[in-house]
Amino acid sequence: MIDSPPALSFREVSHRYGKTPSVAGISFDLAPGEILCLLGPSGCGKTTLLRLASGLEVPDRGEILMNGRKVAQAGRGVAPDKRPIAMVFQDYALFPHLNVLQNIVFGLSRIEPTERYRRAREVLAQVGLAAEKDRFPHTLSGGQQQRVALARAVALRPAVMLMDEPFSNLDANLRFSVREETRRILQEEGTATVLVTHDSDEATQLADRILLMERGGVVQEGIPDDFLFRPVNPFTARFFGETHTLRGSVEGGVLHTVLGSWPVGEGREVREGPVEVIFREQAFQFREPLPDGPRHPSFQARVLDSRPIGGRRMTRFRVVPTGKSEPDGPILRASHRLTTPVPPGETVPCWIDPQLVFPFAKG
Amino acid sequence: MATLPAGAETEPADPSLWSEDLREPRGLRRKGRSWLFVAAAAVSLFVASPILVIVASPLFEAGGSTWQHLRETVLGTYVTNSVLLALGAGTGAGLLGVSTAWFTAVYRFPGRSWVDWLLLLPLAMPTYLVAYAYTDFLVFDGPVQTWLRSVTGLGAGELWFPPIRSLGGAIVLFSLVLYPYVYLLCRASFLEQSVCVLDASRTLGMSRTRSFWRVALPMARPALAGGIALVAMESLADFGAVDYFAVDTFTTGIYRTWFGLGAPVAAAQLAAGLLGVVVLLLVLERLSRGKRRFHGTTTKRQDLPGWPLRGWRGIGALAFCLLPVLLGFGVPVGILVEASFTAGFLPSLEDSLAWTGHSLLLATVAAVLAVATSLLLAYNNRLCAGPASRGLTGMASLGYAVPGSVIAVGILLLLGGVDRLLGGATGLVSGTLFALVFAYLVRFLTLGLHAVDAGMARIQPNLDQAGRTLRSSALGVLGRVHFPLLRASSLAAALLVFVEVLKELPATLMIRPFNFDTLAVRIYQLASDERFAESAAPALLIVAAGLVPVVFLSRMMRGGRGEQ
Repeated sequence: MIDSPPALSFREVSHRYGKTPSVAGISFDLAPGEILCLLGPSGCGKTTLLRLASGLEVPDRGEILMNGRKVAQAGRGVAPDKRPIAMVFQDYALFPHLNVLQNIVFGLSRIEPTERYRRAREVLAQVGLAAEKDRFPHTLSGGQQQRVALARAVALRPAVMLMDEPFSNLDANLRFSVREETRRILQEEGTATVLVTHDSDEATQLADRILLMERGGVVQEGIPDDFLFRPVNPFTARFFGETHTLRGSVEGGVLHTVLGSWPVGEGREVREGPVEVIFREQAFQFREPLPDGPRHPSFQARVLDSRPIGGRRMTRFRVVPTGKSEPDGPILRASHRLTTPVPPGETVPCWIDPQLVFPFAKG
Repeated sequence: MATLPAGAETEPADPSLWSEDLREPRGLRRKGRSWLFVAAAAVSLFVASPILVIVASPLFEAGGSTWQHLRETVLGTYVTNSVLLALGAGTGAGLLGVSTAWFTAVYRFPGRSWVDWLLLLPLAMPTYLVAYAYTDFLVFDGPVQTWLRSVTGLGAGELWFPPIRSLGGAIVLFSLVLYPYVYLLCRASFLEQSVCVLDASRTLGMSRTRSFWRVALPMARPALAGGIALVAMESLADFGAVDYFAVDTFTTGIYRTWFGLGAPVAAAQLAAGLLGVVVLLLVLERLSRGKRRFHGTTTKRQDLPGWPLRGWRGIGALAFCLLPVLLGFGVPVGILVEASFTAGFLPSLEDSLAWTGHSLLLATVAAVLAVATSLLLAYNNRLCAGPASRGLTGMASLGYAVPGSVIAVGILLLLGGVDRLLGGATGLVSGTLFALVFAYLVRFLTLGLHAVDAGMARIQPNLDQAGRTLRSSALGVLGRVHFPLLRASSLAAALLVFVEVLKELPATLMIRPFNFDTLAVRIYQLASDERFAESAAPALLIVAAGLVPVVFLSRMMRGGRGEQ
């Protein structure tokens, strides 16, 4: 493993559509067997990156390597059909005139026929569609179509698997299990994968590593936990789940907000002075923290309403001011343990987990 | 990096790593310098060459006094009549085509499954045949007027009856015969539209009729515009009917200038003027498409709603859809049958056997060639999308609006020149079957191109990319993805070309090799000699031959959802 070159390398790759820059000086390596998510809002260049890897686009600058072989450089590139890749498309792009088996065999034309069909049946069994091999795409459910698309790509044994928002056309209740399934198959096959998505849940569920992109560049790179606990800027912090932003200030290593004051904490370096403070909804808890754990600052909250959503309890509350003469505090929302009761109308103590609070210097 | 020339600093240590594979990706949206573009350019140029000769004709030695004479006398009439004919027939056929397509696509009424394909029947009717038949039927001493006079008791001069041999008559007849072009394209378009958009429109509070105006029709606009453009071009190109009706249009003018005045250059120059109108039509059609893409955003495919029409509404819909079939096909066929028995059916048929063989041979060869060419051009249009490729397609499409006689002039001028280059002998290339098939290709390529292009536009772009990433070359994707998906469109294209070649008259009349008459030429000769009844049996043969692909097409039309 140590000796094998990266399955895919981007080196200072830039690309523009006409005069609009889409990708600017991006570099990264993809280890064999690794699953990398390109995450970002629409128009951030993540799909272009995928098309560059596939050969459907050619970079204007920089170079792209696969298994140590150069496949593209400024203005030139190996054609898609000559690259060791496979691609899964957002709308699956199954060929409507071919049945499931024929769709999968389509890409295997360079393998000798008996092996071709053996391999096709193997991957069909892997995705649990062995019985559907003679059906046509339009007779399959969305989840089944997605699995055929995955099987078709996996069958090629690509060095790099490219997936373009492959789950976005699925029902929400299907998505979780199909992602699990996909991750299992990719790991079984040991396929290095680049997956493009705008959904942070999808990225954290599937990725070994995430590249968060904005405006053609990489904002932050790391494992899923890095993004939840160590966002490098407000954009990253807000991209992973719901957040609330309050004004505050840092003086002598202490963070002051309307909710109270507490030390910024080790490992966090924030410039002294005014800051914007981003709270994850999960930062607010209504259950007293364990006494021997890290210190959790607290404040008083008047509960407005509380309802169970997605296995958590979502509670809207108003921050109760400390002094009688002060105006009402802001309305915030907490996502906390389902089993902690918070009766609407009452004023209860609320604790803050500082791990999920991120102060960023202004300007 | 930016200061170094591209490639200079990235040459790999081992050149074998990339010297073969690393090149401009082919078949992608890069500047199209690929084999495909070169081939498309060569073919387009070849197909357009006779027309380019016509375009260049004003630069030739001036038509001189002939041209001057034309301009002072008849040119104005030619222009007015031609424009009115194209506008009138386009409007009429457009209304008939789109309304019948809508009714048969989304409503269920008694007899609908028959009407589906009955509506295609006029495709088998050449305009000149309808003109001969209706004239025979409606003229002063024809059965209709004779009967009216006997019923009303009015005398010869007292009964007013609309003259069939007039511009208005031509417009009505052309609408009735040419509407299937609009019907076919619009029906396919309605069927391709996802039922979801219609349902969405209904749930947004639109009635069925409003859904048609606000959703279905706008989505079908490229098909409608394409169909109407075809009808207009076809009307401008007609020779047989307007010649028989003595309505002076560009085509009859060109023919007369070529044969009557013996002035080929002036004829070509007259044709150059007509070309201007054609280019305008093409531009309008392209503009109407605009920058939009017309495939739906949903991939769900369901059957269309099949809104039921019961009682008198159902009968009304049936009657409405049967009317154009009756007038554009039933009545003229009846007249032909009646006339053929008057003249003796079998004797006049026996005379026609050789000509039938000639016609079928020419039509098959031309259809196959036209579809192959259309696929090449449409694929180039898709992969090397851009003004250059669009220009090529436009260039190759010009022939459809150019009357056959003009293409004949262009080809004869061109191939005559080639003959002289090859060694002086006349008739080396010109005056051969090659010249005739060449003329058909020039003339009818548009039909194939429209059908194939529309089919191509319905194939999701992602399928190309899927094919490429599944180890298929650009050519492989054409063979393994597009061609199977375009089978229906290609067959439709071949069918349209086949039928048109059977019916084609003026170019065949002028270019055919000595002693190589076709059915159409034979009929024209007989009708011109006032021997209409004798031509009826061979005319029925043309109609019958044209029916075979119509039936074939109707079968395919029923087999599910078009391109599925």
